[in-house]
Amino acid sequence: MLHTYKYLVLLLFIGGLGCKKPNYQSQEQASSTVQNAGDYINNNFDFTLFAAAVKKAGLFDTLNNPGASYTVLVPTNEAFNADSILSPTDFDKFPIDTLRYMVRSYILPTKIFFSGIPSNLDNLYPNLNGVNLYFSPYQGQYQGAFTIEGVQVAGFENAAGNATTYDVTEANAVIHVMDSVINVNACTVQDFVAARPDLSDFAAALKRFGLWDSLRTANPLTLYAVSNSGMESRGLTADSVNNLDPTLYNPILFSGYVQYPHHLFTEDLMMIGLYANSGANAVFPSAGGYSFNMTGVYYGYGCYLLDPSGNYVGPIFSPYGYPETTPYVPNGTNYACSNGVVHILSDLVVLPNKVHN
Amino acid sequence: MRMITYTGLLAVLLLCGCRKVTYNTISNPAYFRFFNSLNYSITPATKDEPQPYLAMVVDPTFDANGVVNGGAVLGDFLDQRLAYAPPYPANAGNTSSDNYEYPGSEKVLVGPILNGFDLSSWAQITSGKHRFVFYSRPVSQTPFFQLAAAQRKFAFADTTVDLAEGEVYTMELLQKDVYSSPIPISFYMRHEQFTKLPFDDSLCYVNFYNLSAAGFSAQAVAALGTAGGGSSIRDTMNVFLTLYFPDSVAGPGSNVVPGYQYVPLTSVIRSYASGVAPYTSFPIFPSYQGSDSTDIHSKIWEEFMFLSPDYNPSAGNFPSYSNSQGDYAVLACTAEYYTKQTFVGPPHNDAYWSPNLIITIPSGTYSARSYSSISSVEMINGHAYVMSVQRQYAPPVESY
Repeated sequence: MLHTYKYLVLLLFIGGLGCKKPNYQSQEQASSTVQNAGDYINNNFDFTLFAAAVKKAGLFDTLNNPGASYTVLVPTNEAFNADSILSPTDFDKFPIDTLRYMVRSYILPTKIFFSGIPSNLDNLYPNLNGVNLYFSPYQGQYQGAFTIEGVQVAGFENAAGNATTYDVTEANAVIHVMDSVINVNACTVQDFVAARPDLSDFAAALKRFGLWDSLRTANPLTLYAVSNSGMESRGLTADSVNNLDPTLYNPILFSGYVQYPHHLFTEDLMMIGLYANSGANAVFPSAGGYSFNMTGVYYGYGCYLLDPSGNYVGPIFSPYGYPETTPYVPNGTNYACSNGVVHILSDLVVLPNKVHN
Repeated sequence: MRMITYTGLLAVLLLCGCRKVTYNTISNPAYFRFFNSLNYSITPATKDEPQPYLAMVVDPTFDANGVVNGGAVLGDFLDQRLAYAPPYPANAGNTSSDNYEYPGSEKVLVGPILNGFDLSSWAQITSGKHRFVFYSRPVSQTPFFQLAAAQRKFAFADTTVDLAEGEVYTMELLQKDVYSSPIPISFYMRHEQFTKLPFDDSLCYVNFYNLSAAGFSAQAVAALGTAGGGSSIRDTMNVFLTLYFPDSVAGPGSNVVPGYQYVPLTSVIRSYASGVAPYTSFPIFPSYQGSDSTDIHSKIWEEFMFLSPDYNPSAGNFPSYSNSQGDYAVLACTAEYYTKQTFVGPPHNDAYWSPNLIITIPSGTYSARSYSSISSVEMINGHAYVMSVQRQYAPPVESY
């Protein structure tokens, strides 16, 4: 009997030795290999310019904070190159506050997955500066699309190879890869135009024709500004504009460029086309029966004007009378301001002599 | 001893099976049904309008910031209504979050059979005064009260209505006019009378409304110019009925039931008045060569023609198809023969379509038996919506 108890105690002792508290080390190791957003951007050869900007702005550690959640919009190096930023030293030209504001524009304080965004245009999410960014997803049966601030997000095949995804998931963030830079300004459209030396002729024209105040008061507003080179190629300088008598011209001469209440990025036409299953221009009925047309992915990016009879009246030679789109200046679109969007046209859509009373 | 054990075990098992079921009841109910009739689509011009995708909150409560955070009834994910609202909640088993009407696929208490009418598409609500607020919401699967506060702020309409016990109400949100921006929204409520009216079982009843936005027709005519008819109707239209019996797919619409061609029914005037339009009727078993003399299965189908008062179809007087400008539209009620653009030119082109107003279903020993219904046709901004209400059918007969 005593022997039996001895054996039992020994057995219990041995059993106790066999006990083990698993801590699932292997799982921890697996998850620790996923990087934080800062490291991911820093280690990616396509994002070296953005990584440099993040570091210069002092936000690298912020993006590596393991306890935080971010959505980071990361423009590729090509996107910065198109915006004339070719090397990391180009960021030195920016005042540090401006650079920090710019980088913070690209960071949102929550994780926003493509599939979690409502299926409609213009979902607003604030970035680190507190400025709302416009997210527009489309998830169709055959085709998806995703724009942020009017810029397309790069889609790629998911790991299973059976669908397009727009999310790069890191430990503390979701990253959306952008094919172009975004332009987010805290100022009004009026302040934006006033601060641009290349729009001074157009600003003078809006003041002369009584449209200047609407750049501050209208909301939402889409402004199709004409660059100085476009104005001056047609003989319109700030001085000559001030010599025009507004009473002698149909208001459409300049009113068509100021459209409200509309908030249209260039790629919105593509997104509307996907949602409505049609490729339509934006047609704005305007002063005197004219219609101001904004075209996008289907007809070339730009604008044109039709007279009340539907005839093209633009300055571009059109042998058969078909509308010719006046294009935007390269990388001159989708400047988001607090009360609207600005696109910069390379030319007028109608010459003064065409709308002279 | 063993017997006692088994008995005890049985008692325990039986007790385990006990369950107290609490039936939800609503005392003194009124019945209401809601349609989201905001049918503007996304265009560059309307992109910045609030999304016509709704959450309906009845008797809402608000937090300290004035943001809605609860309510007695929530009708969520209310998408634009479908062209045909069947006489029973056909989408009740729908697993999609989208709901095309309220109650629709919501699992709520619905109306009983009242005076022979199936009210299962009308939700119960306690009678008395209620505040209805309709919010625009993002198109997502997140329930309304879990959305961020900023997404629960835009109210399309906010109204208080007094609902009487046992009465039947149909509610809609409508676009008021086409001239203003943002698009002005109007709450519309119709106090239905069909449960109180005498109807004949051998007749099918239908009434007509034009709830279009002010100026929609003029704008559509201006936009379309001389392009075809049927996409909008003018503010005052006459309605003519033609009944057809089955013919070939190649040439549908040629077999007219004798005596039922271009029968003047009523006129319809664009209005948001909450009254019930008068019901018009037609027989479900009219006589024609080859008709079913047993009055079991009716094979006819209906065509309603909307013409402006300038035209008289009996005299062969139709607007030019190429320039009808809202003077002409057709609603064809058939599942079988009529498809849009089968014909070119009036009197048969550009039909709105709905299922047959005569409901034919298997019943008793009959594989197909036809019953009449009470329907409302609502013309709203280039769409024709048909709401059909079922009369009480004969009980099924078991036969093996």
